[in-house]
Amino acid sequence: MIRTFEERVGQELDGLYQAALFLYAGDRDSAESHLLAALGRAFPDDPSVGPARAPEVDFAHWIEGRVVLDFFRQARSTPGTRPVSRAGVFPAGEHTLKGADVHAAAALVAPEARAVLWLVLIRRWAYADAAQALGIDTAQVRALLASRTDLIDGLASSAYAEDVRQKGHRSMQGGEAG
Amino acid sequence: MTVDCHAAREALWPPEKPRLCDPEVVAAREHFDGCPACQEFLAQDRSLLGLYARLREECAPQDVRERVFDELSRARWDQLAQEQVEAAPPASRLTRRRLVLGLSTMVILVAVSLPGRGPSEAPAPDEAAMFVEDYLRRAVGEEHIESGDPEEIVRFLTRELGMALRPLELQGLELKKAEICLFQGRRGALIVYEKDGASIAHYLVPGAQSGRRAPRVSTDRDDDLANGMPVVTWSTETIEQALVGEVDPQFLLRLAAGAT
Repeated sequence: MIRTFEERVGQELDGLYQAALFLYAGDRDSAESHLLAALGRAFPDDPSVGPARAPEVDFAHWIEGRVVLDFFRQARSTPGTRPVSRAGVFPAGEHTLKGADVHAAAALVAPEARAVLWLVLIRRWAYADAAQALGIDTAQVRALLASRTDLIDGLASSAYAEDVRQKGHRSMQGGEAG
Repeated sequence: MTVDCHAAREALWPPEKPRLCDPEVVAAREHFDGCPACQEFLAQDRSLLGLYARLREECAPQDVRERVFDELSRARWDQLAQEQVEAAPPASRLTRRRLVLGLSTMVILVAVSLPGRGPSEAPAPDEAAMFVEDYLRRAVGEEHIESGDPEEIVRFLTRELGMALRPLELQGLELKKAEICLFQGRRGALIVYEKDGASIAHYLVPGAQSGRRAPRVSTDRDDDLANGMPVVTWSTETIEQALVGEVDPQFLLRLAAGAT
C-alpha cells in the first residue's frame, strides 16, 4: 500500500516534536518553527519516491535524522557561548523529574551537543549512525558526547530541588500530623 | 586482559543491547564490578532512559499538527507546480490547459461554496491545500473509471458516493471517464467528456447545501488562472456543480440546463 509523506510524518510527529523540544531546550515557539521548516525542507528528498528512491530506508529513522541535522547545521553556523557547567551529582534511580526538568537541563548543553545527546544518549542511535546523519565522524560524536556531564549536572540540580521540595512537603505533613 | 573506564564503558554501552560474551566484554564487566564510578555511569544511563519515557508523554498539539500539514501542503504544491513547469514543453499546451481547466473549476467551486465570497474573488494562498488534498486522494487511490458507458459510470458513482449521478447526454458529447475528487473533505465526482476534440469537465460535489442557483457563465474573474476559459456553475439543493471546457459557453449552458 502506498503511503504518502504526510501520512508517514503524521505517524512520527509526536516523536519529532519531542526531539525538537529537547533540541530547543523546551522553547516551544522555536521548536515548532524548526519542525515546520525542517519537514518542509525534507519533503522533496523523501527516500520513498523520486529519482534517488531508496525504499529500504527506515523512514522514521531518516526523518528524525533530518530534523536533528537541520538543527545541528544551524547550531554550527551560529555558535553560541558554551553554557557554564554546574557541579552536582545526578543520583541514579527513580525520579519524579518531569519533561520540563529535562528541557531545563538541556539548556545547559551547547546546542550542537544537544543534537548528539538526543540521537545517541536518549534515542540510542549507534555512534556511526549518528555521525552519518549529522555528516561528521564518530570521533566528533564522541567529543560532543562529553557534554553528557552538562546534562547530568542540570538534572542533578533539578533532582536536588525536587528532593528539597519533597522533604519540605513531608516535613510539613509531619508537622500537621504532630 | 585489563581495561580502563573509557574502554569498559565503550564495550558495555548501551547496556540494553545484547552482545556476545567475548573476552573484551568479559574484561569490561570485571572492571565494572570493581569500579564504583562506572557503576554510577550505567545507573545514570538507566535513569536517563527513564527520563526519556517522561519526554515521550508529550504529544504534538493539534494546532502544531495542522501547521505541519499546511506546511507540507505548501511544499507539495510548490513541487508539483515546479514539475509542471519543467515537464511541459511548448507542444503540450493542451495538457497544460487541461490542468488549468481542472484547477480553475476547483477554484470556482470553492469560491462559490464559501460563505460571503463571490465567484470573482481570486483564491487565497491557503486554498492551494485543497488542490493538494485532491492530489493526495488520487495518489493513494485508484478511484476512477474509464468508460463510455453511462450505466457503468452510474454504477461506479453509486458505489463510491452512494448517489446515482447520471452523466450528461447531448448530441456530439462523448463520455470518456469519471473520477472521485475531494473538495474540503467532501467527496465528489468529476465526469470528463469530449466534444470535437475539446475536453469538458463536469464537477458534482454533493452535500454543499449552498442553495439552489441557476446556471451562469463565470467569465468576470480577475484571476488569470483560467485564461478566459468559460466556466458554468450552478447548484441544486444538494449538489454543487460546475462545467468547464474549451468550448462555446452557450454549449456549456445548454449542458447545464439539461443537468438541472
